[in-house]
Amino acid sequence: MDLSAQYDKIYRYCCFHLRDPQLAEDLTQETFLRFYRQASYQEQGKALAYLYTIARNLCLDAVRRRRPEAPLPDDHPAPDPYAPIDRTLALRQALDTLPADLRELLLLRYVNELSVGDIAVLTGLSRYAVYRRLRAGLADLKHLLREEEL
Amino acid sequence: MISRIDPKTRQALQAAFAVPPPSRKAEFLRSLPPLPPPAGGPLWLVRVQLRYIRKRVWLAGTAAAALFLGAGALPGWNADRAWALSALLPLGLLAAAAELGRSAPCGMAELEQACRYDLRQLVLARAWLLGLGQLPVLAAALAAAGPVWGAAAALYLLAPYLLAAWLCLWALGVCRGPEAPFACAAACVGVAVLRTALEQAPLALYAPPALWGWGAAVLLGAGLTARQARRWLAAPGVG
Repeated sequence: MDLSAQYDKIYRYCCFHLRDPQLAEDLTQETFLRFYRQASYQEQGKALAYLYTIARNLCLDAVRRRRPEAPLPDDHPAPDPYAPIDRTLALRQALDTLPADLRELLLLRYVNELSVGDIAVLTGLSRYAVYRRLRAGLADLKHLLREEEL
Repeated sequence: MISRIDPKTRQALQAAFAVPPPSRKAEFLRSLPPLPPPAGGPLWLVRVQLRYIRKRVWLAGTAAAALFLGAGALPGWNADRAWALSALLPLGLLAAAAELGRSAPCGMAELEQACRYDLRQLVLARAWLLGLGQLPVLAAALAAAGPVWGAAAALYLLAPYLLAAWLCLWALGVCRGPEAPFACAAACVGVAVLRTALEQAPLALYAPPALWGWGAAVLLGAGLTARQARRWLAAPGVG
């Protein structure tokens, strides 16, 4: 496992849940520390799913611990300076209209490049359900972006 | 299945999910030790042991099986010659037995004890593979001796074989270290010599009443081998 690449991906995943880069990095490091402590997970092919499971549980606990009246930080992360700004903005707006679990699936599959099997283990869905939701999410995004273009 | 997305959409998604770069990554990763090697299931353990067992062991088993089959195919092969298989079969066990105790002479027993898997699990996996490798040797000997002796061939062949197996395991337990393979060799050669001496002695070895003796020898050999195998596995630093 490439620790450096996985650090970036877990950090991105935590940022997705928490929208707070400092807290996201704290939880990313906590994820790796717990990953190291639990050696029994290490069966062939299960390490990534376990890493993400730890990160997910830590993020969900952090979100629950947040005071209900405190709003989530609204600042969007810095966009990639080389991407066409209007397309990125449009896509981001389209993503915001999708349910959070679907956004999570899109992040895991197309940005963090997790396999469908690992996503299924992480989310508790069947592989077919993951395929179906990803397909539906992409279709929704394409529809929304086409509406934007119009 | 999943609809593929074009590279531009993938790039756009990556940009949409972009986050500020982490600030403490390098320092944290420097502080981490290297990841321990992943452990697999039982099949992984067997595959590792298969790679560990040297090719010469399989070659020796194949050569022994080929020798026995070749002997059985020789013209004039009869009961007067078939007893030699019974004497030679323990020697076919030698390579496998020596390989079983290979860790100690190579100083690997302690290293294997530190591995994720219990040393006994490693040795059991190795013994299982080596035992499987002996089956073709036994089958070849039976195929050669069967036409001569009939069903009793199994008894005539297994009795010295199991005696040699018991003695090899006992030798591996007593002589740990570089002497172990030589002790196994001495055991196998000793049994082969004993079998040869029995053949030369004026005894009715192949008379029907003698079958009971051969049967008892096989049962005793099997029991002693099983008991010695358990003792050997239970001993500390086995291997």
